[in-house]
Amino acid sequence: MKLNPIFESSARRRMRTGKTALILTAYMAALLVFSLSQLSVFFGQGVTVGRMRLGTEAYIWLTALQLALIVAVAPALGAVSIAGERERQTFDLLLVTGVGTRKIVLGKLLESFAFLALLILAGAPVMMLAHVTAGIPVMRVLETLMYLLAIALEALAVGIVCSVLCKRTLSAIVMTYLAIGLLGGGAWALAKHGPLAAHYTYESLRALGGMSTAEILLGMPLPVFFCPAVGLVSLLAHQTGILHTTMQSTLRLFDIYSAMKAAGFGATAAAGLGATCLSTALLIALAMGIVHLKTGFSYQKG
Amino acid sequence: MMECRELVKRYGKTVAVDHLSLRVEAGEVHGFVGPNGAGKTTTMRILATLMQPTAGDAFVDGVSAVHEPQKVRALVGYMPDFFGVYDNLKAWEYLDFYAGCVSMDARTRRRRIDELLELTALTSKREAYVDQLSRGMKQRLCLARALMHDPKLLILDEPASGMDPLARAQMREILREIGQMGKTVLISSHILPELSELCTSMTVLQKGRAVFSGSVAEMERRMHGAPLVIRLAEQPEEPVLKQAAQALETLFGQPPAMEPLKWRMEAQAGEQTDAQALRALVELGVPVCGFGREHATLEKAFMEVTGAYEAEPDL
Repeated sequence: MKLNPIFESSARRRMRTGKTALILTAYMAALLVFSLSQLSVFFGQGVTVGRMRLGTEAYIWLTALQLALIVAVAPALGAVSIAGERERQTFDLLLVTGVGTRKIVLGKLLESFAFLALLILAGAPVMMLAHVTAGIPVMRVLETLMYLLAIALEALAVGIVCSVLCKRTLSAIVMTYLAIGLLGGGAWALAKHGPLAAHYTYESLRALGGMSTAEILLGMPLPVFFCPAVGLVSLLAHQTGILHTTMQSTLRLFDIYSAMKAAGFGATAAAGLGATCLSTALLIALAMGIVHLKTGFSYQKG
Repeated sequence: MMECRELVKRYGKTVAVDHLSLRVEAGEVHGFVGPNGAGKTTTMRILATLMQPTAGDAFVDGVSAVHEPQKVRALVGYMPDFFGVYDNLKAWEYLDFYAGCVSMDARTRRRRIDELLELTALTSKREAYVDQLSRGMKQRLCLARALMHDPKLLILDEPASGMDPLARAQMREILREIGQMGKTVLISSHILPELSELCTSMTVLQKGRAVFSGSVAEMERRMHGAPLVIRLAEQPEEPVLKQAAQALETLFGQPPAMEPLKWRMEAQAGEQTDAQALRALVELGVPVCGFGREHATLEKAFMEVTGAYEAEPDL
């Protein structure tokens, strides 16, 4: 099987840098400390309901840590990919090979994704401890990992679009962080203040008894699904049950909790995953389109 | 093989290339000369399909760079004047990467990389990291990259810029070898004597226009006659000096410019007259220690063609 040459070369170079080794080591060390602290509760003692609650919370915190890792690392990874080629003066050399827009964008995206996936999956064994400490089924943990990978891909796709638009890596990184902030915070704001938000007061949803899950989901403000955190939180609420209280006290401020609860947290998480995948596909297509416009004939138009 | 037809490129109000038409036949090594801002790099980037002209068209092997850039990319190998290299990549991996980009299969790739490393005298640096190579080696590696897909036309923008004399000599040897392979080469350089050694033909650009296009010999012929320089071991007596000046004026029709120990005769009267002048000076007892015409250099020809120092040439 022929590997995408851009993927192969970029991955090879990344794995040779000291920075990569440092990031991996630091992250693995953090995970080790985390897993030891999680397990220490059970050392020499039996499993009780109270301790299982601690195990569940640890699982949620670890998922939050993984999400934080994605939000912190993905923009930088995605944003430097193509802008870095320009800055390094290697982009022209790439273009004259006729390698094509698709290979350039996908090669860069997949390489960044592979590295981020390596970090996320490095946390998998620690997350799997939740099966022992909190009784969460292995399949559920895998679902969470899948969701995190989908979010990582979306964040990288945002970075790639910004990387294609900006000439300098620094401006691409800043733009990516802003775009991701907008995707997260903006979706909440739109859900709260957008034209559809008014329909979803807690009181009005009480009367939704006769509506199907699909009807409720379709009636919810669409932007909310494009905030990856919404889907992930719904997934965790669905898996553990203990997030309900937190969600009710915080998310109810935005009147979304009621709708999510009415539709079911599992269904909301699935809708969120669908929106994440859709926006990722659109972002990739957008990045390819921009590169093609800039390089289909040429890099610089007259 | 390569042709530009009425090529125009404007950047806002600035005209970088102004209705440039030129033709390079297959197998020629064509030099591209001109001061900074003459439009050399712009023309080369249009031919490499990295830039779209404002008007006109460029063709490589009959294929339009404007309408079929993808086909042209397969025919052209391009080496820019400024380029970067990837760090943490070995020389062979660097070439392997570009071989992958041009969709070369694994078996051909290995053989081709070996050939190119040998051609560019980098076999010993096969396992060296690219970012640790010297500038000259990086330039040669970039040349190897440009040759990876065996292009018909090789476009080299200042391939020897920033190199030390030894590295330049190495590059010159490699380019000569490439020329002997029968490839069409378009090469720009500021080091004109090197171009005169390498090129079979050349174009001189100024302000986006071709002010000369033809063979190197033709370019040199365009130069006005080189002056006769006579060097003296010691200053002769006044009467001898006067007699010598008169003899030279009789032979050449004008008096020489006489500085202490160095005389200069601008007039041209053929080699026989030069010989007669030498004999006359020796018979008069002038202590001649140097006698000859200054070599016609391409730089001088370039100055003449581009209007002598008008645009602050970059030589």
